[in-house]
Amino acid sequence: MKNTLKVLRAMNNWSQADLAERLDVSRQAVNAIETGKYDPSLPLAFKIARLFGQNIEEIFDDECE
Amino acid sequence: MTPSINKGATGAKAAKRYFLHIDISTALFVATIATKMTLGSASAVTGLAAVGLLIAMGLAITGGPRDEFARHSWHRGTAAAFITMLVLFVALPFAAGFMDGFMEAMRDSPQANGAFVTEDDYADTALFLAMAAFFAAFQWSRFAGGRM
Repeated sequence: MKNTLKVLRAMNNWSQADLAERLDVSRQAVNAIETGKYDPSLPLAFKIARLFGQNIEEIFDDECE
Repeated sequence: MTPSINKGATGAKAAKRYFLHIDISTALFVATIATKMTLGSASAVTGLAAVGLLIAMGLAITGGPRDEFARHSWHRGTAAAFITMLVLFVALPFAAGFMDGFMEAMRDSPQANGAFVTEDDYADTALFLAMAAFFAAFQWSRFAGGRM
């Protein structure tokens, strides 16, 4: 699943570790989500959306796979 | 706009520790296999590596909450280990004939010096193969997302 997490993170000038800390997950998890290797659970997707003040579908695109 | 959310570092730190323990376990597993093959099972170095592996795995298992990606990787690893055990032990009866021939060949080989390869050796190998499958699947899941 494609997503704009890396762009959103860059816009806030956060490292993967910074974002991981804010989401309460590991840096490896952030890296895996950003690179599309791992799809987050719905609760984590909501948490990401809330963190960036966007809707889930604005961040995650399920039609690109 | 700077997004605001409370930082909850406990899960992130626990997951970081967890991945560290699994990485140490992976390295110690490889070290255990390597020393077992080169120095033998009775070697102190092999024993130390095996004890270190058990401690690191114990710390990983009991180390508190993990994040969902760590759980995902763990499940990939345990599924691979379980499938390996199933294949090896279901296939064991079918492989018995092969093993008999293998053991006979080992017993008669000049290197064996009459030593006998028992079914314990097969179980021992199966255990190591299952652990190898766990670590391979875990690291594969971690670095490649587990996708083929």
